Amino acid sequence: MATRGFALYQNVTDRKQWQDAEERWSNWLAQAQAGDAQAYATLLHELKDALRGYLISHFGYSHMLDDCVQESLLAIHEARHTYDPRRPIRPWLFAIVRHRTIDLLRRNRPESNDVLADGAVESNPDQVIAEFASTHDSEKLLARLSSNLRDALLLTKFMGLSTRECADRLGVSESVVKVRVFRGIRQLRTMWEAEML
Amino acid sequence: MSDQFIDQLSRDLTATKPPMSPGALTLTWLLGSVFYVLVATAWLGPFRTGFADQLVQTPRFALEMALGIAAVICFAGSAFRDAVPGYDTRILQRAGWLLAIGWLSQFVVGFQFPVFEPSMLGKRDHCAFEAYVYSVPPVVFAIWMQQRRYPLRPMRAALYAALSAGMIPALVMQIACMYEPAHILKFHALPIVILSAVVALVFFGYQKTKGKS
Repeated sequence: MATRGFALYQNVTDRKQWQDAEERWSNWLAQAQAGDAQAYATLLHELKDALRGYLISHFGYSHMLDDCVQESLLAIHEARHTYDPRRPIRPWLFAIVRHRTIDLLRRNRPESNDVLADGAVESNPDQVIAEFASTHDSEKLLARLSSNLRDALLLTKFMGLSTRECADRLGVSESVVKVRVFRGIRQLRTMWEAEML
Repeated sequence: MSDQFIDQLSRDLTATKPPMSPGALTLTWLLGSVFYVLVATAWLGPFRTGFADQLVQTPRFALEMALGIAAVICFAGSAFRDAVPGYDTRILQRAGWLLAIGWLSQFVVGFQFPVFEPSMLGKRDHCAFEAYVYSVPPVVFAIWMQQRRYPLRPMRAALYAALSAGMIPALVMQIACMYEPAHILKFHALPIVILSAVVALVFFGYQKTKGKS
């Protein structure tokens, strides 16, 4: 009951943060359209981190991440005159980001990795976890996982135990640990993606 | 990621005028293009005698015109919404195609079950040429307006502009020129396809030259 209440509280809080960001970005961009350079700089600095998280969740961790963020900011700069402040900003913003990123990744197809149909690069789970752990939302999102998945992830990816050691600690087989880690990463990715949007 | 890049973008900031909404732009373009085509057509020759009576007294003919007009509106709406990131154009595009196919199918059905008895009444000597020429200024203007915005798929946006711009003279010819299904498909409808193909090719070549995907 307490867990459900906490989850509901989290949802309400997340939604409020989501709406606050929506309003903030929209207001700053409207001010930028009027020529307010300070508001524009503040917006771009905040977007820089948001875009980074969005690109990781959608396209995986890539050596071109910084280039994609930079290209996206440049495209936002070029397209800023088309934004209508009466409309939500996220569809406008992430349509530009998605399109420019896919374009850039296709033009600079890496040799070793395949760029998938939607532009995602096969991602290294350890790199994803490392990047995820550095964000301030990681604790909150981990708390929302089931205890089975969270324990497997924490023991293997954060505390560095081997799969065998983790299996012994949890009293399950190694294959069960691998499945829980895989599902945990997938759920974190989904939750993180929802946060970014 | 350098903060200097962000600071540079901020320093380069200039105030921008809010653009017309896609809906308002679509309406403006449609009104202007239809007026232009009607005036140009009337300037070069009279409209078919009795077309107004035919519209009122023949429901199938009125349906044909309605399908075509609705397709023009959907294609034009899609063309200008495609010029601004974040607008969903799928419904308009699908509706436009359904309506355009419905419009064309009336002529195919008309080979067996014509709306009117086919006749040479109102034949214009250069209707195909008129259909091509009248569609060029509206499509050029539409593409220019699209490029002033930020189309993420410029070729697709231009294609829908070409479809809409090509259909306007074709619809006007339905009341200005002779009514005969084979003639309509060959000389009024085919220019739409050719115009769209030319626009697509030109854009494809332009984007290849610019090094875009």
